[in-house]
Amino acid sequence: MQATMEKPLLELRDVAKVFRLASGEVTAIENISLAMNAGELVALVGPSGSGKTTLLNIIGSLDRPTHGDVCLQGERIDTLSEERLVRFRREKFSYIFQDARPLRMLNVLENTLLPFNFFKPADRNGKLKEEGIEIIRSLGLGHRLYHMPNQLSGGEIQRVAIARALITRPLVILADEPTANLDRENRLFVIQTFRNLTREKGLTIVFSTHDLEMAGIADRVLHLQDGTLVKVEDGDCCPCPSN
Amino acid sequence: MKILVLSLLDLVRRPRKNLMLVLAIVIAVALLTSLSIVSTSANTTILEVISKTGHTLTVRPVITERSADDITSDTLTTSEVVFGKYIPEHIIPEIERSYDKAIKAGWERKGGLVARPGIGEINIEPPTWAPRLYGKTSLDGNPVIVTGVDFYKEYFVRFWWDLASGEWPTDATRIRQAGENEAFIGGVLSQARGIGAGDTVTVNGTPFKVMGVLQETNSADDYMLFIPIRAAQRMFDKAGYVSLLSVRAMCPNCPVGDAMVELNKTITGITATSQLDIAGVQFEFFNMLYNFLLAVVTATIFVAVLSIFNVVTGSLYARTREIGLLKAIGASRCQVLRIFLYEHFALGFTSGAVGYLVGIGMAIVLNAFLDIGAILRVDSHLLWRALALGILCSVLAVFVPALKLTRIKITETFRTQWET
Ligand SMILES: Nc1ncnc2c1ncn2[C@@H]1O[C@H](COP(=O)(O)OP(=O)(O)OP(=O)(O)O)[C@@H](O)[C@H]1O
Ligand SMILES: [Mg+2]
Repeated sequence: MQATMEKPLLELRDVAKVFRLASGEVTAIENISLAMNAGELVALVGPSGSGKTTLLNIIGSLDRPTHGDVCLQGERIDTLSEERLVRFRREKFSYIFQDARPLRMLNVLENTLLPFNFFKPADRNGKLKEEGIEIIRSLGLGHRLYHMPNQLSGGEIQRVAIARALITRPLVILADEPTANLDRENRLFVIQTFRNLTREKGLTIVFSTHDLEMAGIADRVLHLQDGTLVKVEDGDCCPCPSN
Repeated sequence: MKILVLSLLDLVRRPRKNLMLVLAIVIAVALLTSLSIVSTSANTTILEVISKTGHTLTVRPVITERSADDITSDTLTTSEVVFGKYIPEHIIPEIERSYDKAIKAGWERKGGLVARPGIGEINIEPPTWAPRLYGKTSLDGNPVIVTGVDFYKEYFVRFWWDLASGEWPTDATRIRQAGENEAFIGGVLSQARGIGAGDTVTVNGTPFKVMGVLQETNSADDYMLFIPIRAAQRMFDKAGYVSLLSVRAMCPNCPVGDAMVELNKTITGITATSQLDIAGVQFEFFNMLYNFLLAVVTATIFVAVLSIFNVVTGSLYARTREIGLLKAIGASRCQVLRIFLYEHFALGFTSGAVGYLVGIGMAIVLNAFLDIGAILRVDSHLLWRALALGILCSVLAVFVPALKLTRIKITETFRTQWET
């Protein structure tokens, strides 16, 4: 995990986000600089209000920083037009939300293939459905392909969200508290899946959590407090005291 | 195309979600449709009646200032009934000729039939002239107006006449002239004197069998005893004279006014007057009623539409997260907007179509229950109107909030606790 020779996939330089409200300014995050490589699993931890969601949104181009640069593959993305951003999100990012809630009127397979209702990836002809089924099977939901969301458990719903995130073959997956509403078994399943995906497919996944056990599975854990990065640790050696 | 499927799936798989909206539009469209059907059908029916009946023109003897002065007990005159003044029968052909000439001339000047919607081609039938002779006498010691009529012609001209009891004298197919000693009695007179159908009354020594009691028409007819005109002429010693002539113009928009002017100008000793006949009045009344109802319904629908807007806005806000999700997975704002527009287009279309059908049903029920008696006609343009109204309401209701909601940043859609 020492300095790699290749350029980082994702880079944030001195990023800050200030919300201007009628009642004054709120600095959600500031002075954040970090780099992530392809195939890394990164956890964001910190108390409530420390800026985890804000940081994830900025990394994922859902929000723009008020200061600093965000680069993906060496290209600045924080200054792209909204139109370019839509294309960008389609091709490079996938999101998993705490309250995943697949669309109620679509079944598991349809929800997984939902992104393709809005765009067709140029380089992939046909076979999308087969690929969707394959992904769902790999997540252990093969027997639920045609079930509706209201027939699924919380853990199964989150797997649908993962399947939907994977179907577009993104570079980066951003997950804001993806395990918050799950029991331990399902939490472990989700984070282990993330881990396998980063290892085997070279995906970069950033997730936030309040659960230090889950964070410990990540390659790196970023500790946020009051909007600043206070500690970066190697998750794999979490149980051991670090220097 | 995929987006359309997405919209339709939402409707098909969760139909109850939009029940309120659909219901409101169905009711609104049904109300307007049924009102339109009933009113246009009723109007057309009335117009057809007018086209059959036309205007009625009446010819009375002239009452000059001077003759009004020498009103004696025998020459009592009301606006409708003139006593003591007569038109000699021998000038009737002259009156008829003059009338026909004026109608024909007026008709040609107008360029023939002035078409009214819903009325087919009309040939001018020869007019029917109904003569009357009024006389005053007493019945069981009380004064009574006895009117001699030709029952067949009278019934044709006063087509609104109806019997409260008894029967018209008919042969196989139509009203015939009553028998020498048959009579009909006005509704009020019948009540006042306790004379009903089947009774026999003796007038000036001649017995008459009362064949029927006329329904009240709020005219002088209600107070009269009707006997055959020849019998009346004999009874009052007025052979060769009549008190009144009525004619029903047998065309729509007949130039009856022209005929009236012509008659008054060319024939001395008579006054011709024309009234818009009963059907015309009915027509005006019905239009008034329709406009009133339309105003009420429109106001109600306006209120309903406002509440539809609220309902739709509310249910759309409940879908804020869905909007955020769609945008996060790569839907552009325009695509999200299209989902809602397609959805509401389909909703409006369906509601409009259902409302149209319900409206037809309501029109049938209304027509039967309110005894409007119109022959219902459903114009195809009503369907287009129903669909347009449904789609307009539905799409407009979603457009404004959708425009606003799809503009919200993705991050905001997940931050706020939107109601569900
Ligand atoms: N849109 C916004 N407008 C104003 N203030 C905001 C906005 N978004 C976040 N904040 C503020 O920024 C700070 C960081 O919020 P953020 O949601 O990133 O925290 P978090 O670490 O995700 O918290 P939690 O663990 O509760 O999810 C908070 O003080 C919050 O009030
Ligand atoms: Mg958060």
